Amino acid sequence: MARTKGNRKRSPKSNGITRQILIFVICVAMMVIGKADITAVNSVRTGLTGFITPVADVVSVPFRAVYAMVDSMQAVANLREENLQLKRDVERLRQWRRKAEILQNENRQLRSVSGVIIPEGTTPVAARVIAVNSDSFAHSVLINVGASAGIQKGNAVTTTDGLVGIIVSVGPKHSQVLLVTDINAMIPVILSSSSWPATTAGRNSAELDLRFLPAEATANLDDLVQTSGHGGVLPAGIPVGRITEVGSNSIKVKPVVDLPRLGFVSVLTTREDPGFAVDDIYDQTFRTLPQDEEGFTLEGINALGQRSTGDQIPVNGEEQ
Amino acid sequence: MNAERENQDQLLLSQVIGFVGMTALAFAESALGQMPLFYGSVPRILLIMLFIITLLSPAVLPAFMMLVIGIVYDLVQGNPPGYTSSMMMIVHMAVMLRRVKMADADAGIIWSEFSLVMAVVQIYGFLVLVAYTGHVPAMGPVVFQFATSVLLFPILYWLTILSANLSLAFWRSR
Repeated sequence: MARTKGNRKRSPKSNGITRQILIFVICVAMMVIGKADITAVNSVRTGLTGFITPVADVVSVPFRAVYAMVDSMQAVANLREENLQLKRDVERLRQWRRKAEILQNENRQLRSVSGVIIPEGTTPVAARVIAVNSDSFAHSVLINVGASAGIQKGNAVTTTDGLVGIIVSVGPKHSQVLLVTDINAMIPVILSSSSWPATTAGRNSAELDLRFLPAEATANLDDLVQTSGHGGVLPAGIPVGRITEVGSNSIKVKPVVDLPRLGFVSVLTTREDPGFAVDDIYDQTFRTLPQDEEGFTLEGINALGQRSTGDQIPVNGEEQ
Repeated sequence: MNAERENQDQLLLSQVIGFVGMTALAFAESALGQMPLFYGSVPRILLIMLFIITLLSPAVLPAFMMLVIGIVYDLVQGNPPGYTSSMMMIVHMAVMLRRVKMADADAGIIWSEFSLVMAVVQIYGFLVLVAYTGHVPAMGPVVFQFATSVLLFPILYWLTILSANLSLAFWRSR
């Protein structure tokens, strides 16, 4: 008997393939909806991530322990070499310290001359990295502080070395940080040696591209690149990286932060009340430039803030 | 009837174990990303195990289960939801299509089949990212992830076969 179209039965295999294709289509639809940045979808996603985060935290404990063990074994093995390196570093740092003292003094004098207003202080919130995106297609980390600690979207995330990234998603007890190396991360920066503006762009690799540098600007190897503060999202002056390669078509920047070894980070929150008087601290640290009858001048001021020739002037309120 | 019910119970149990195991693996893969060696490109352990399990016993991981595991992984990683699930579906479909041919094949052939599937998955992931962000990522980490996954496959395959044989021997001895 010939089968009609209506009662034709499908084999279990074709049913399976149909189901797989259907689920694949659902996956693609979810990605498209995710891209649309719908508030309700983002809320559901944030809620689910908050639910999963504690599990991820627990699972990462043995891995962190193994890593710490391997790291300490390597440290013991490299002790001698490290000792020699440290001695060289100490000597180099002494030289830098002398240089820094001179620059610090010059900086103090310049502040009083130019009347720079110290920007409103940000409050750092310490956080632990729970999960690192292990995919080659995205660079982000999950940290264990969220809205309850005052974290907001767009807050800068730093270590003592410099900029780590920006908060892109905030849950009650967790936040997602887009690293500076991510392909979506574009940071407005300046070259610290010349103050030329540019933009760093992530490439999902260990280095960043320096883009939009004016044609008349000169980029030198090892130049420090720091945030410019343009756009108002990130505070100015946070180190981002150092120039490692100057090619004819591209300039490469290596992040100053050791991103593969992130353990703890500081989120620079911009709460109105930082919990301490920022102005008082600056008042104690930065004194106005000593004046003489001729007014302000920077010429002939040595590392101690005193004039090296002729007339000595009081420093930091010292009585003559 | 009893034998059929017993089979169903066993299948359900193996599916639960499969789900819990693969979810734990998803978290473990995320945690592995904290190691400097694998920063930004961890071997795709989840897809390797999916390939092996689908090859040995496809009923253990039904398609909807992969959807859930993939979403959990994406939430932990901060990927677009559905991204990993779609990759898992590609691996699953590829293995199901070639399963009969791979059943009697030697380990080398299975390894080359896996390499081919991983290459397809990496290209798919690359294209999705380009479409999603509008930028072209660096190729180094993509190639590293592919290479480490391919190198890790024989070890995980051997370990899985070994543990399956051991558990079978254990159940038979009881």
